[in-house]
Amino acid sequence: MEQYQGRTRHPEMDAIEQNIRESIKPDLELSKIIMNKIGENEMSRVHRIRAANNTPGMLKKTAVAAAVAGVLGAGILGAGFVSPVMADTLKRIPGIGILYQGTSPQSVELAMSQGILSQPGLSVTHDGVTLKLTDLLYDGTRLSFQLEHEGGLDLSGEASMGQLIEPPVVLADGQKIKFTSGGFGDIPYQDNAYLGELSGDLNLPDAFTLTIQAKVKQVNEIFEFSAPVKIMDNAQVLTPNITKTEGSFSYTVEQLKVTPVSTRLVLSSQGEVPQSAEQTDDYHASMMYYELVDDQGNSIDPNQYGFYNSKPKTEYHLNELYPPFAATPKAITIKPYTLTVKNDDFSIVGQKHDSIGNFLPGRESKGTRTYLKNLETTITLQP
Amino acid sequence: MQLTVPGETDDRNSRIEHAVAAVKAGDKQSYELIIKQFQRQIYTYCFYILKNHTETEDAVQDIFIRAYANLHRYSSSTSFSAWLYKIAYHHLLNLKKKQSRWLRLIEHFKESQQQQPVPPAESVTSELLTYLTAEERHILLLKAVEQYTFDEISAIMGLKATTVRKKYERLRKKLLERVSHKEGARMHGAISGANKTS
Repeated sequence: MEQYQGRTRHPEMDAIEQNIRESIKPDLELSKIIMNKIGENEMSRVHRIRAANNTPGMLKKTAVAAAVAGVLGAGILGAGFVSPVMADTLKRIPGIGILYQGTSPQSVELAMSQGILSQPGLSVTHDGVTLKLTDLLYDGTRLSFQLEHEGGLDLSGEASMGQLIEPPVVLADGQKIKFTSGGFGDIPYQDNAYLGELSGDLNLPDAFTLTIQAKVKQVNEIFEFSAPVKIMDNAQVLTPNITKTEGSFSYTVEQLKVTPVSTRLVLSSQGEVPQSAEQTDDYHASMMYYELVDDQGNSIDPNQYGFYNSKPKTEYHLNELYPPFAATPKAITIKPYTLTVKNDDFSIVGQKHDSIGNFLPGRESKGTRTYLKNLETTITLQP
Repeated sequence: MQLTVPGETDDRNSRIEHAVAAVKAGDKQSYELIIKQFQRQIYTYCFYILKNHTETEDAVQDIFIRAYANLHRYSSSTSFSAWLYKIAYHHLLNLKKKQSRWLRLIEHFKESQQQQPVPPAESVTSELLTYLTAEERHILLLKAVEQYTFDEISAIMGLKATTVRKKYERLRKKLLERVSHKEGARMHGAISGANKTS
């Protein structure tokens, strides 16, 4: 009792306060749940959407290869023609960079002439809130669009477009588009824009009317945008069916698809990943990742790739979307590599973060790569 | 029991500050230590404001995630604990604001929820808190869960310390009056039970 009297001189109040302190015991161990959620949030705030049967159970975080700096203004792309200077500028602009990484003057012009890239510039206003469909990209393998906020929403605090817009409904000729992977959400470092991307198993014709129905929280009416899409599908689709083996591990390249705006690699692998000398004792090798290198030595990584809080599986089927190469390559080399993972906490050797846990810029900050030379293979493209 | 032992608070604070510095330097896992230090108290605070375990679980997660996302804004000129509770306080205010909009719609649902059995300690405290205003509840809970001083509560709630003290006196009178008007058995039982564990 003395301790209580010493604090407030009102033992009844002390008892009430103590009762408050001790009456509640949470049923759940929230710290683990919160830490997992933080890991998921670090996937760059772009929400990863996958079909239920394709959900990776232990996904820790995903690196999004994203160009990030500066601000995309409206009206960057002219109608039909992009000067080399403008195309050069595009490379440094994050919005279009997200839709369209690895741009070059030639590929921008090619993409526009083939109808792959367009700028509908459609604005819709409800309750004083205006959204604009600024950019649209469809190349037969992925559909990406960017909505820009033109006014009416308060984005000054922590609220972002990704928090205020619910994942939109996307239709082709009035039918909901089916897809197995993609994302909806913020564009990193660009507060007034929203990105949608449908990239897995799309089955769309070369010409259709695209409709995007976006619901903004606190606005009753739906923001609906309709734009025609018509492309000349000149993608190079290779099905090499090449298998490479090292030890008990092997992988087979099922498809390599090259368009002016994206590169897609489909492969399956079997067996345990080979371990290097550094990947023993307290460490192990991660799952296999695949870097693509063109005949000019240019190298690309998938737009998204995940790190997992679990030992790698012995079977994978990957369908990964990569950015385009600056110019259509004559040959592409697949360079498999692993990362070195600490057994205790699944941290990855060589990863570097800033003070709030985001990756530092550059490939090196995403972990030290152990390349497996014997598993490399080069695929020649048609001239 | 959470009695303050000399030096214990300083130790805890320095442990927490150390963990905060580690998280800021890129050691994400250290944040789990911080969560563990506060999760039960924050849970209690949220529960007695929201009166629902499911909503409380969501709120606690949101608060810690928000604190993590804004950790770069925290400077050790205030205690981490007070900074965290400031986030919690504003988050709860926002939730209650949203809740009031939907109150009529969920009235029926809420009634049916209140009929669910609750542990005795929860129900005694919940009942007492119904006699307090929302602001008084925050003051009492902050004082109870972290044993904050009036100065610390004033910093969290953005009020003057003298105002907090006066409001606390008022709520204390209200509660004690209520306790003395009661038949006594339940509340006195709680008090004597609490005092046994010293």
